[in-house]
Amino acid sequence: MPVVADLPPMTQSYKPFTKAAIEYVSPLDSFRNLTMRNSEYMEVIMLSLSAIQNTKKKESSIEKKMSDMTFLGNWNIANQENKLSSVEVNSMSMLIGSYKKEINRLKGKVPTQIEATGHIFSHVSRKLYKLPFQNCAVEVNSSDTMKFTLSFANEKLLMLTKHINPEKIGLAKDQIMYSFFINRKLIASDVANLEVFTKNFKGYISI
Amino acid sequence: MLRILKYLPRILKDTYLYNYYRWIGKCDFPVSILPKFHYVSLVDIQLLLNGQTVYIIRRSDKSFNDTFNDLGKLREDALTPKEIPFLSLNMLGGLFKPEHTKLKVLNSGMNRWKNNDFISIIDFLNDFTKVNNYCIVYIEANGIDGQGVPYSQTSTKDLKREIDLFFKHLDKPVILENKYKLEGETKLIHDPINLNYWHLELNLLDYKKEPIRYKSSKYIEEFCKKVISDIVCANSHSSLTEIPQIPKNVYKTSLFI
Repeated sequence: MPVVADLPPMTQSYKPFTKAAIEYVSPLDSFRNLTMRNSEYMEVIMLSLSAIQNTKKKESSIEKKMSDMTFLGNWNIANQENKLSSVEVNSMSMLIGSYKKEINRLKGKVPTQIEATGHIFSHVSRKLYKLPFQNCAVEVNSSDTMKFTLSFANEKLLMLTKHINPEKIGLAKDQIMYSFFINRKLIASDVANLEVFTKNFKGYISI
Repeated sequence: MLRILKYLPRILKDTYLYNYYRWIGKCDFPVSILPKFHYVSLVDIQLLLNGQTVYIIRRSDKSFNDTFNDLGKLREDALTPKEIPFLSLNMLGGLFKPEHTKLKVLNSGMNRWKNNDFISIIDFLNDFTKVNNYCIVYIEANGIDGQGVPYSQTSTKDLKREIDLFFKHLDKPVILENKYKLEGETKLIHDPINLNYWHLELNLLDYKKEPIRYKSSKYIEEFCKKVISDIVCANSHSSLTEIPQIPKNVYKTSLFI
């Protein structure tokens, strides 16, 4: 039974399991504080928790990895930075939502790719949620790459490509290829360290 | 001699036969997209793009979800690097409409339209088919024509000789790790075919401005991937609200010359 596909959409309310979920979270104080503080972040967490609850049922390793990844990703964010802004929470929700759609698209086509991209999504999205983008798209491509496209205000578009096996094309593990467009015109394109790039880009885009 | 008089008997015969074949259900080709003898043989695309925005269109035989990402941009794997040199496209704003993308031209219907020949659909009844499952990719032509594409090509004896000759009176390109840092370009070319006047081709030009053909070579593969990601995908749309019209004098000449 496809666990991820059975999850309620992000916009629905989570009344049926809100109490149980908070009890489940209670050992993680910082986590609960966040869920109590922000309704949008609650949605992301609920999505993760419902996936965890569903793991009691029989599930495939891909689906388990998927739910674990989402949960761990949020758990790490919650621990690293106790105060997330609503924009950051919204950004994370969008990234997770887009990735889940992509996983559903790939199910039954190339399950091996899904397995390989879980940790990459987790790694990259933890850096990207800090950027103030308006919308995003995550692609798992047949050429062993993951592409993150982020759209910003004023027709600005950022495309980041992360290779599943970067060493094969002579890149370091923490390097990504980026292309930045304004009004669909290419402004810059290069290879960069993900962390350094996101930090610098945030500085630029926030001006 | 007036061209209209020269072709008048064929026009009358063709109109009669076309209507007959339509009536018996043997031909439903949209003749509006055929080349006409009074059309300009080749439209200067660069001149046209200098004056206005033009959209082009391409059929994707994949599903919508396998063609577009969540932002409505073309997915990177919706096209393969092999398809990029001489990528087949159609110009919108004239008589080619989005619904015409369901037509797949075959055989001699794909041959280049030459010498302003009179084209009768009756001669091409077996040279097209219709595709049922497809989706439409809209691309802004102004964003994909004349775009510089930097690329690296491994230095070989032959390439070194070519480069030395080509850049004899110019600054030579930089070499890094035994690779020349070069710059290519994209160019849209009007390529009218027997069954579609509005057909365009995307040419990839190397540093000498010569067209690149696809072959199994690392630098060509990388060149094509850059064109897909940074040029075609970035300028693609899954829908359009308005299609800017192309003035008739761009493609029509007088009937009476």
